[in-house]
Amino acid sequence: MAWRELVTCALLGTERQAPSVAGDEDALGQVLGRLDEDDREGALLRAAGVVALWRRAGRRLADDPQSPPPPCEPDAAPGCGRLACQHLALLLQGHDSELLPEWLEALGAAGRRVPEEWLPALLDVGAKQTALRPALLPVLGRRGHWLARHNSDWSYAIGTIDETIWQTGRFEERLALLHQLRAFQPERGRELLAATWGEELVRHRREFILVLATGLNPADEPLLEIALDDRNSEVARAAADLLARLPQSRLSRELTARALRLLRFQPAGLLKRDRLEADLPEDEPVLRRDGITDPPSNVKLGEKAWRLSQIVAATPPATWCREWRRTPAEILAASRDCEWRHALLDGWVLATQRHRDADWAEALLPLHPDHATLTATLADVLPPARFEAYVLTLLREASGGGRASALVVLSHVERLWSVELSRAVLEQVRQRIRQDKQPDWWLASALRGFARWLPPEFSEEAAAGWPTESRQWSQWETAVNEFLDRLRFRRAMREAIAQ
Amino acid sequence: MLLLTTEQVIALAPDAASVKAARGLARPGKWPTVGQNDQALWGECKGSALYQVCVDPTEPAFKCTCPSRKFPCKHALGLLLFAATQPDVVSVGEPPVWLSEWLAKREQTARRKAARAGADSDLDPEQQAKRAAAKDKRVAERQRKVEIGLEELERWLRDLVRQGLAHAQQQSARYWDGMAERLWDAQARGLANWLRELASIPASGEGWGERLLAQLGSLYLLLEGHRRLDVLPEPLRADIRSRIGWSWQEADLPADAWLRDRWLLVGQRGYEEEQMRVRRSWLWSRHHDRLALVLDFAHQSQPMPPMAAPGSWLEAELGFFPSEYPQRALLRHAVAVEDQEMPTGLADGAALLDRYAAALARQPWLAVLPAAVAEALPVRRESDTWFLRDAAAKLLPCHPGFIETWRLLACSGGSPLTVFGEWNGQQFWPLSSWSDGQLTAF
Repeated sequence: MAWRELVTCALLGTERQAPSVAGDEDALGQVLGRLDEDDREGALLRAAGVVALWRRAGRRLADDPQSPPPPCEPDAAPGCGRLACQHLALLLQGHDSELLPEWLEALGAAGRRVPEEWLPALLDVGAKQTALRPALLPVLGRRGHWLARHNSDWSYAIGTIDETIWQTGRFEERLALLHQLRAFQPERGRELLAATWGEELVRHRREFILVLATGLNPADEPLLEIALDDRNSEVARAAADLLARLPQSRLSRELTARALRLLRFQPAGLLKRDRLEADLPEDEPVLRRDGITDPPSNVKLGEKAWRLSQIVAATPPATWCREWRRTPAEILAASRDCEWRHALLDGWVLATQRHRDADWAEALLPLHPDHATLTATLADVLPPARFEAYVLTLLREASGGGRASALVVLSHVERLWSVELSRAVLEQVRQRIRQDKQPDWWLASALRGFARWLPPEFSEEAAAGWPTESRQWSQWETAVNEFLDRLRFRRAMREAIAQ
Repeated sequence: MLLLTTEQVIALAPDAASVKAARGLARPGKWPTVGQNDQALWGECKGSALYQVCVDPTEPAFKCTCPSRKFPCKHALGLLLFAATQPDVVSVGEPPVWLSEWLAKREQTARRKAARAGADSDLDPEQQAKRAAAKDKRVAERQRKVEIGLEELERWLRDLVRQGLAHAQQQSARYWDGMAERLWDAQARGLANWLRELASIPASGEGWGERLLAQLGSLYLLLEGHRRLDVLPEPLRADIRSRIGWSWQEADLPADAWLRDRWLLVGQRGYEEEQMRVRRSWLWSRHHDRLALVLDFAHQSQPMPPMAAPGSWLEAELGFFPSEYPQRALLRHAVAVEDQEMPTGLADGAALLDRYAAALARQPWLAVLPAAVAEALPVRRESDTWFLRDAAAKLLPCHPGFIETWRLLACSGGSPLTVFGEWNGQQFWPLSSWSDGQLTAF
């Protein structure tokens, strides 16, 4: 019985074609032979039912023409328990998803890896959020790297670096490769980029050059010098910024020499204090090439003052201390009467960030108490101990301003706190509530963020001592409870991983 | 007490908004008091007022003093989620007065219900006869409706093939829906759903005519079978009636339909059908090596009846619906137990196909065959199609509706494992997998 013929007949309709249902001499044929062909519709439907069933029952599977990919080597590291997986499920569903990096880091610290069945979900998150990758990659285990090889969206997690991607991959894959190489083998990353630099599209050049900030080193200078001459001003500016971070670069040395000529330091005399004076630089093509161009529209400085600030910003700040034998604080004091002080301060702030100079950061911090983001950027330059000491000093200040800016700094800087700092901050918040002030919405929402940085084992102590009798307590209660819940969740999460 | 997992709690929720709200409540600060004993989980939740919430997770039953019309409300779900993720905080303790009241009331209701059920058999013969007569009348009434529906379906089918499938392909959705609705009204709901499935075939691309004809033929054979119901053996008669839409109540099942054993919940799958949420659970009997399908239904805003998570064991009785190839069953007297054993998988795909052919020979309208296949290796081929490669290097196609392929691949790591799932004659839908006795559900 030919199934094809039945299908053709059914497609056309029995009013156009009579079904031929005669079969072979086999058992199927005998069943079909009993059908009444005069009832065209009945014969077609019955034959279709019988033959379809016969075909369904007789189906065979196809051979696999390929050999399967090699299996994954077994993993020595253990996975994690059921409760830890429950927490992971909650985090992946968007409950406190900011805690996901912490969960991953805790897993890695415990010498464990992500259980197999959660790998696809986590690899998907990592594909979208590059920031998560440093925490994710170490806990993927062999299974995770093996799995990533099978899905091009997860190529960032393959584990071994496949350089052919640089020649054949999509832009996103190439960017991910460059990121990866710069983290572990910065020279190799630069070599690849230098080899194809002339052929890259403008918008790609811009993205690639930014990646060089990772693993930046003096050997990058020749490529950055080429980028400095790029037709695209954004590429050139990005290159100038990177060169300014390399103290030994031609750009940095030349601009430092120029800065030393522009600034004149007069040491204190018999009756006079230290004084600092500055000349304004003229517009010169050499300066333009080194990224000292026209001020962006949002800058309040004049053209020349802007140029001065940019030249100072390209000078390693330690230069001044060495040259004038003064501490940063003394230099800042000396600049007080300088006509171009604002330009100098802007330059010093940027230079401090570029060179992560903690001494200068400490000296600059008190000058900008009201500028929250700037304060936070400078505080972030400080190493942990000095950072905490600085914030604690602010918190213990008699004036409300110091305490307020401490809280602002803490809400901007992403770092774990010591018990001492945690205690001081909570005391500060409790005091605010006790003072019977109108609830401070900003602080109420910052509190939720603080829960990420306190030590989780502090959660019990943190729960005690809240001024629940205060008149304003009801306004604060929700925020405080959310803060405590989050802290407890972090503790539960860490304990579950350790089990 | 047996606490539910995060996934199980989410499955109980009437909608996504409730899950989101419940997540916000799954934290200690929201619960000034919280506790559990071997009967229930309770807590007081701080919302716009202080609500008293209690949950019996085994049934599950919920009670909350909040005014929400959703059921279970976000507070009950929040309490369950909280207990799932921070079990330490929910300590065992003495229940508060309001909880004892709730438990007492439930016990009372249960007793009344049991008493009523008992009372039924205590009725005098006259009343019993009356009830039986009323039931017979209802059945006869339905039978009549179904027969009218079936006659109309037969005419419709014959018209369809007279005019040709190509003509049917030109018709709007109304063409199929109309017939499905009439079958629904005729209380032939199994056929109504079958017809709705057929409606998608004409737009399913290459080979649609062949697929449609195979289904129409099978449907027509069912009508033929129904016409000759009297001369067919009983189990097959039951199969035909089941496929049309008749179902069995606990009381209708004969005593020998019940099988008491330890059952492993080996796979589970949920989907939506006609404004209803449906959950299929496959249970494997440890000592009889049989598989039973338990179906649960819930309206959109209602909670699903509870069911243990895949991988867990139940000591229970399962009552199989009469059939030439029994699968569908009712579950009763279930108690959670601990056990280890796993079903042994079939050696390869050919063994699966043989078993399928044997099953079809007994029950030609079999929708799916559940089976575990050993030594199966998930592989991905061109245009994102997935297969299970068996021990004989044959390819078993995965169902395109199965979306957890990457998780399956992650679990295998390129080494073969045992995969349990449903075979529909064309494709395999994996529901769980294991190697070294560790079951992962999809």
